[in-house]
Amino acid sequence: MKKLFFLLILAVLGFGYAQTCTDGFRTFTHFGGESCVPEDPQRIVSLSDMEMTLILADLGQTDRIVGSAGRVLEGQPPFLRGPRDLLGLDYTNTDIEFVSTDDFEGIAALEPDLIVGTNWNSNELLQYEAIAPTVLLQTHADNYFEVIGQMADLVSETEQFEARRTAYEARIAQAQELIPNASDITVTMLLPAPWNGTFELYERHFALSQVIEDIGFAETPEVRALLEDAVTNDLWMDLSPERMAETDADFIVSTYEPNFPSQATPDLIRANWESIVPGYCDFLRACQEQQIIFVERTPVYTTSFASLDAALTAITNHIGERAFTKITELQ
Amino acid sequence: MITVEGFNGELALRLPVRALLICGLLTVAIAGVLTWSLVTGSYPLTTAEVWATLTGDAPSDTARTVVWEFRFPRTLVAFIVGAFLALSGAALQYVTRNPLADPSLVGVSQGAALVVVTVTVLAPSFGFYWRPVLAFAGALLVAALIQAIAASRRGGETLRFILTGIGVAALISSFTSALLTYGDIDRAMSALGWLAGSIHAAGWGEVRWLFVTALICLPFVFTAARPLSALRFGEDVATSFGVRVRVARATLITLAVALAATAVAAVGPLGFVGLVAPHLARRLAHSGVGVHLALTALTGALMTGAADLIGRAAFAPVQIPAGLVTSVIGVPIFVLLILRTQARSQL
Repeated sequence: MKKLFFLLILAVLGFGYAQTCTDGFRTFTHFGGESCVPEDPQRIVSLSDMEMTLILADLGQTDRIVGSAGRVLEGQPPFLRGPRDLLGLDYTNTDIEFVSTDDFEGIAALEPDLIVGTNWNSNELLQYEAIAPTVLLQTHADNYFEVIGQMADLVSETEQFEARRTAYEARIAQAQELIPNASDITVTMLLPAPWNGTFELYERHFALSQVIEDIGFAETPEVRALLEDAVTNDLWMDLSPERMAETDADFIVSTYEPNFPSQATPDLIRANWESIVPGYCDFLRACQEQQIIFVERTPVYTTSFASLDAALTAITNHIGERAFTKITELQ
Repeated sequence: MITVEGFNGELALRLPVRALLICGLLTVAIAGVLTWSLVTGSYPLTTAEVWATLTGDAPSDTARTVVWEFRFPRTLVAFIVGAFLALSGAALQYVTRNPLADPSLVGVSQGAALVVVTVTVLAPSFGFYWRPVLAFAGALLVAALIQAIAASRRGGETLRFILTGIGVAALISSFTSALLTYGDIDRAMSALGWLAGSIHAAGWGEVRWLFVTALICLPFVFTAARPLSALRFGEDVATSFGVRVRVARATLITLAVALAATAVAAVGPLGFVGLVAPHLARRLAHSGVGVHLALTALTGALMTGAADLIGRAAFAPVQIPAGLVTSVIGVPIFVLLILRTQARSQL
């Protein structure tokens, strides 16, 4: 009986201890829990090109990436969306192999020592952990810099992260000097969705919305009310075309995407607007005053310092270096 | 048919030779699919290397992981889940005397889907490890609701059961669609992955609790062959044979729901297996209910195992969910069966 009690005490104490890792590994807390990860991972497989692969490549860690999920479009070989657009890195000019996120054997064949993914990959966490230590970072939440910081921590590049964040904040300060009245300028992010006859009114657009927020631009009370009242998916809400006029602002930002044929150019996006609301320009003063601006989507719809630079350049070029007509008045 | 006697003639069994032969062939086919599954995949392994891995002499750690952590448990789960769904479908078709009865008719798939999608979209921090438990609970709750509504009045329970199942399933599907449409896109995509009915994430954990469920439920299912045989001829005839119809129906539906709920909880909804497998088994060989259940289980296991293998290997490294493959295969087979079957149902 005493022996049993002693064993029970040991078991209880055992549960109270934190996870300990063997030499060469350390604990890392992430969306999927707590894992023992290599202190210096050399063979990383990334389950997300636009997020994990881009962040790693942007931190100069391309050589550590042995495999990455990518995009497969009709008539094209697989490509790395994000790294290709921002950094010119793709499967064809790096040693990165294409993997499919649910092809566990293909991932295992690369013999990774670390797998990085997002909360999207949580369904298969156990399978990934059978191959190698797996870290899942929660993206698509209001934690833009936290995700980059966590990845930098994983590859021991925290100093670089801090330096680049400081540099980014300095550029934001420069942008604020260029646009001293940013808080009086309203900006709306709006994209036509002709496939279901609505508009997508964005609350968060990754680098683009981060830069807009950091510079200090405002949003109209009408847009704020729309976003607060509607059921959103934390990124955008589907807006009825009948309410398009409520999104009017000093500047409306819309994006085009060369990877998708129907959205490849600004003219095609304009055509999409027209197909949803014929004569849409009559309902938006921003359109009448040539204050709808178009930026390429992928570079500003991702998480990395390179994306922030791209978004900052686009916004300062389109808004900071031009005269414009004030359309909305904030109280 | 051959007759086998024993115990000095006190026990006599009539055995359907063709049906038993087909059972043997199906078992061999399942073994073939298992073998093919173990040697097929994105990671190149020869048959000799697979055998070496199975016998403890793996050529590499990667080979050991690929065979023991991915291919083997996944294939076993496919077989067991296919057998569960097929048996569930067969039991429901016998009990309701409706050849179109399917686990989705009793809201199993829809109930599981609603609970999983709700938690995934509204409370993702709850933990995906709870997903099988939630799916099982949701399936049972909805099935219980349908049964309660159907049994609320005397007379016409079978028809009311079918109609209630269709109505409740449609209502639940609308809630699920709304959650997927208006929920956070990441969470919705996570739920959609499960809804596609894919076995690719199955592991030894799923094998264990599916096996336990089989140990508990399958003896009851096969013991129920006698009341099922009587129920085929209608409630009045079954009563005259001494079957307690209400108890038998409730028990059989509960067993069918338990089997289907367990399968759906493991891998998500897999369409058409529960509908097609009983009919396919009947076309392979005519037999009594007991042997037909065995044929059905083997047919369902083979269907799902083959579907998973095709989905995994046909377009590698792109993986096609088994649920899509069973639908693509199941629909033409079902249409063929309908065209070849006589006008009158032969339950």
